[in-house]
Amino acid sequence: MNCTETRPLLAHRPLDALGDDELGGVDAHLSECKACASYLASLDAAYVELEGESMGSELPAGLWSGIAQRLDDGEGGTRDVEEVAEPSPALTIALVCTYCHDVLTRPEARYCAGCLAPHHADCFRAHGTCAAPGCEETHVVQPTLAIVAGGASSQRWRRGRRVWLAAALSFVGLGSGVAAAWKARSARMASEAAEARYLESRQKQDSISRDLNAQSARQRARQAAERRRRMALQRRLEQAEDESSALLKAANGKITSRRVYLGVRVVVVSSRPDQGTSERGLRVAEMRPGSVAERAGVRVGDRLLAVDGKPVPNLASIGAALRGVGETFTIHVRSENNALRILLAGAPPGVDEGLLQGAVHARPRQPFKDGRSWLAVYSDADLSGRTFETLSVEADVHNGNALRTRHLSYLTLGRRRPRAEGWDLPPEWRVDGGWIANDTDSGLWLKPVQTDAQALLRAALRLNVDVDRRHRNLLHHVNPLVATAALEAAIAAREFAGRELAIGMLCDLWEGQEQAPPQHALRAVVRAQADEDPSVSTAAKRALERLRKLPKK
Amino acid sequence: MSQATIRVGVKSSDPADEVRSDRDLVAACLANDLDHAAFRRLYERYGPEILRYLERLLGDRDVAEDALQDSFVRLHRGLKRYDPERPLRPYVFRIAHNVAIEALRRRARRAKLDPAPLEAIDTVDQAVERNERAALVRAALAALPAEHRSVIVLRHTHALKLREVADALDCTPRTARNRLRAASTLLERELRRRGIVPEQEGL
Repeated sequence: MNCTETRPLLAHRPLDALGDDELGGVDAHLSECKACASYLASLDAAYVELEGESMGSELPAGLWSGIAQRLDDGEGGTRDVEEVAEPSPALTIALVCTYCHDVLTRPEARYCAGCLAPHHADCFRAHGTCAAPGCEETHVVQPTLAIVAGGASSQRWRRGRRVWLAAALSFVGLGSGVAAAWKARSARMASEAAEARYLESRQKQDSISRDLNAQSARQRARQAAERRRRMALQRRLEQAEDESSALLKAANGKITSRRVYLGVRVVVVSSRPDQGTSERGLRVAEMRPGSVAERAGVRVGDRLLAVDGKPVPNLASIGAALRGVGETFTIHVRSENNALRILLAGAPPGVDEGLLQGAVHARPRQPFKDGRSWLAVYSDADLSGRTFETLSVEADVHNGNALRTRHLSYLTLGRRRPRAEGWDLPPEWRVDGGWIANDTDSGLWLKPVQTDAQALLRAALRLNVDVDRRHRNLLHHVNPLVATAALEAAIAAREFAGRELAIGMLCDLWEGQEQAPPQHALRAVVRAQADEDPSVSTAAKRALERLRKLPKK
Repeated sequence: MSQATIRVGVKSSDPADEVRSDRDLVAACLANDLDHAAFRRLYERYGPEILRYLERLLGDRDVAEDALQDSFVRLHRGLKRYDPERPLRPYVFRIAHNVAIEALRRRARRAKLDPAPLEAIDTVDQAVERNERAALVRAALAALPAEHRSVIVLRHTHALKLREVADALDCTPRTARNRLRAASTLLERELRRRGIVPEQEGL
């Protein structure tokens, strides 16, 4: 061996971790090469330093009492403590030898004739007497259990037993005669054969009952798991509801929404060079009385330039600009006479207190037989002693493919139900195939958009209403966790026809988020992979691929 | 021989204790050890070196003492399953090893939540301050992953035979040797980095 071969092996030398073949070569090289020898010496020295480190080797005084305490508390134990992962379906009671404390199978057990303590035959013989404390019995007995095999064999068994008894008697009476020994031997053989038969039939029985037990246990476990899952879902939904009602409470009974609406209807103006106009943007076409814009001083015909300092060239930018405003903000407008005005607007304080305090819900009701769905409006507010003549609602209605704003203003309320939470909507409020899904800034506020849309989504999923592509828009109004809980419920509901879509919606929902979807949602999709419906399972598989690509945190 | 050197430190109040083999004591523990007298003998016999081992692995006296308690409670639980034909010492080490590794994992999890200065770095700093060779060697050992540290300590400090190391790590002797070699290579590298062992130039 040369240095190059030896050096990597030298590290193992102090720990004696070299193979015999290597050891010879290394030692031979060391005797020749001074460089390697000195290197090994330095390594050895380092290991000596390691040895020299003497940390406390004395046992601290209080430690033993701690251990003894824990042992007395039953933490230790020289008993059998085989941890079983799952409870075995068939309950068996294990016998333990009184002498050696080892496990004892029933057929090999010998019981003390005095106290019936079980022993191994060998153990009893070794001990001479019964090993149970206080018992000094020197004889053992053996149970004569009913043998499950046929009558002939049991006859034989009985005869064997008689012989055995006779043998035992003669053994006790006559001492160790040759005849007695011979009889005892035959008796033992007979009893061993009977034991084997007994064992066999017992095993057969056991395996049958084990199979049956295992089957029903599996079934029970499945049902229990299903029940647990449903309950967990239910809990999550309730939790989500609690959260939203807590939000409402925190609003101190007033409905506040962070959303601010200008309350204007605008027309989009495009530049028409052929007509000599170069202005582009949004022109106010109509204004609701009492709206933010009106109070700020916007006039019909004004062109909107900027809201809160942000230019508003199109409709979408208004919403974006309004999302970030505080209690007051500015509106830049250009009048028809080309004058620039900067107006100070105040965000509405929330609900008009004179009108109503409390949440108003719009709930989809069971659809009519002809397929039209309709809504009922309820309110959390204390409505006793109040009368309402009119209700102005401007709602975003899902109608067709697009989310369109429909003006449903100044409709007279229907009859007021005694002791009911609210009113049924008059027939003209029924929106065919659509939901009211948005809040409004008119005289009466609907519930904050989040909880409202969430209720709708949940209801839609629960009522088994066909979830259509257009309802996906709802997702963007809902707290993603709430929507997830609803979608999970939908995915888990076997009888629900829209499972496939719900899975897709879950993906849509979380692909837009910065956070990762919650684990339980992923599990719901994973479970859906095993669905009987092939379209659902393939949708789930595809969804998982999409979801796995999402950020982890 | 290794057994003899280790047992020098054992204090025995009863001269008969030396005579009682591990096997007898285990049997006594299993039979009817109401006041844990037999188990206490075992504790006194193996406690000190196990404590030393745990201390070295965990680097902290208090944690090591807790781990020692856990180890012996677990040993008591394990005696029933332990095959009395096999030597007890590696078995005790195995239990202590598992307890220590669990403790280290727990600590690592906690450290992830609440990042504390790493112990190895600490030791290096102290070593540089005092410029102590022994401390540097210790720091080199502390820099190794626990699994490697453990195998070196078992083999070197506690002079376990390869078979016993294998028993303690619950693996075959061959695996034990491979782990030992991996650990010694790593330790060599750490030692070299700290300048305790010269760099190998020209090789």
